[in-house]
Amino acid sequence: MEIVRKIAKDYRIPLLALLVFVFMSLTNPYFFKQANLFGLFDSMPAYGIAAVGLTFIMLCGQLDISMGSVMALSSCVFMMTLNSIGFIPSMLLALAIGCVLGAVTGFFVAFFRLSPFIVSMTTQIAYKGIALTITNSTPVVNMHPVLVKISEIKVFGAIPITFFVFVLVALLAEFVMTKTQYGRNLFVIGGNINVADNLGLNVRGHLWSVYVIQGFCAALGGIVMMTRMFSASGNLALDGPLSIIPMVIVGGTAFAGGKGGAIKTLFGVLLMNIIFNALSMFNIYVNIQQLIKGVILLMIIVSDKYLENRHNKV
Amino acid sequence: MKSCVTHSKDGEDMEQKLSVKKIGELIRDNINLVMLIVMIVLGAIISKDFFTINNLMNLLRRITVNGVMAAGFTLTLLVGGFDLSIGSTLSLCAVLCVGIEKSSGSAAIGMLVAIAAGAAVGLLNGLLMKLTRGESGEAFLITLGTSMVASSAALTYCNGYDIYGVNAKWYKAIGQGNIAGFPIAAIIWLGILIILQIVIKKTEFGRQLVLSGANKKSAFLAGVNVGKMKIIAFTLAGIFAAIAAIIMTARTTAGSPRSGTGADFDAAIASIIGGNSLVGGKGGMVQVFIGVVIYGLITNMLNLMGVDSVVQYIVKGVVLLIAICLDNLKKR
Repeated sequence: MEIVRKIAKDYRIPLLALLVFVFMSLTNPYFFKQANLFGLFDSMPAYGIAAVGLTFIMLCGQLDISMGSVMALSSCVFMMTLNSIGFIPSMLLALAIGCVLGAVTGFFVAFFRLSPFIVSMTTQIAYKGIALTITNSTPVVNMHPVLVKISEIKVFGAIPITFFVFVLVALLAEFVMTKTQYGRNLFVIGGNINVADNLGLNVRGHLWSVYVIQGFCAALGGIVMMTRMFSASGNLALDGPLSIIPMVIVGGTAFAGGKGGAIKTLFGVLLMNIIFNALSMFNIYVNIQQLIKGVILLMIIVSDKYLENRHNKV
Repeated sequence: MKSCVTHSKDGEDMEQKLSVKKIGELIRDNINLVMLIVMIVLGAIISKDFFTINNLMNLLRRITVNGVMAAGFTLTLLVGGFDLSIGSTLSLCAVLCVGIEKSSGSAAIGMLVAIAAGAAVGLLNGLLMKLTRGESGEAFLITLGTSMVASSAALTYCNGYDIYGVNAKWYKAIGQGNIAGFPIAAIIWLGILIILQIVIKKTEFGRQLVLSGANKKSAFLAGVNVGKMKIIAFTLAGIFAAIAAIIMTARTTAGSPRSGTGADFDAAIASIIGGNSLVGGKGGMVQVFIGVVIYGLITNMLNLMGVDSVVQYIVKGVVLLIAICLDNLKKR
């Protein structure tokens, strides 16, 4: 009984994802088809990688909603420079730009102690403006042969190579979070920022670094997104924050910080995407899908917080 | 003797330093007001069209919708929450108001339904906030969820298309009419601000509202029903979003399911650069007025200067970041 309870507590998200997956495979004839599975795994990596980056920030009890614009701007630069300087250099350039953009947001959060929500909201506006300005408000289409080749690689005929990039990033992040001094420090900062300061940790440096990591991850997510869209624009990933934050929260990373992990986020991304895929299998209209997304988010937040706080008077 | 002289010199220095410090403090405490004045002076320098009645009235008309939204948003800030759903509520109320006026033929019914819908979304936020004993973190996520619900309802109601046409004359007048050259919408907005300011500062209810945001534990011990205050604040925020929707549709004579996209962010930014605290329990409607005017002035001046709308995003972001940094000086 104790073991069952422990499993239910620690592994409920992966179990739920597995349950939905098996249920859909049994009940819907189109779900377990190669094309649908490919679509399912192809839809995950871009936002998934950005979600792993956000996990670092949320571990510290901070927030970032500028990742959608970071994805847009870095992928615009990536697509614009792809033909002139080659695949690898332009990828490195885009990743570097992602780091810089993350560093700008993080600088104001870490050193001015401004509210991360407000800062990332304003940087989001500015980054989107830069992306729209450099592209002249038109989409940048580029069918570069390397991009096309990457998009064609499939493992087991159904899983795109980018999905493995996502898993690799998540595993690497989990390693950093749990096995290194740096990662443990993040948990301390998220748990209680004053205690971390009194312990002599470089709180500001750590806060700044997680934003750089997030910028890197968002840029990588943007590049991965290009392998299936072949077109970047300043309005790319406008719904990024609204989609990514729920994935991280559902995975089990606490909004207040100090609790969570990259593998948890991986399963949160899996669960949410399987649910969305299932919803479209049932022919549910896209507007209603949004309603269901909202209700799922509300149910998870409210049940979580109600159970946590129900003994408090206020 | 010598020591005495140096002492008095020190004293003078101290006095001078004190007065400089005092002025510095005065500026720091009223940094938002200073920003507003700087913006107005800048506007006068940049464009000779700035101080024309036309431009000022146009500015007022433009900022009213954001102003009403920011008033509601600030109430949720005061109670220690945070409302991101008002943008979607604005869209929902806008399509409901125009759509029901069209189908029922009565603008009053449309408005009532819109206000009821706004209140319902706000009530849902408030009830969930009470249930979770939430603060701004929970409020952020809860209102994110309800905003998805509200925008889905808006899109479903009008099938994703805009609804055109406002028939009643008095309905149009709310958005476009003037009384003695003064826009009616702006009068409604200023009326709301004045009433709310009096309620917050002068009544028992207002004090309870602010106290429950400032320190909910001591508010509870003092006998304040914190959960009820949250419900009231969030419901009012929803109602104000509905009023903003009525004003907006009256001005544009159309309801769009996407009209509220980003409106919640605009309201939040305006409220915060006006000087309202994100932590709760500090602020008021005077700050809302200052913030909304500053935010409106930025857009207005960029337009007067003929800055490309895309480049405006960049300038806006940078200016807002500076404004927030300046505002932060107060807390040191």
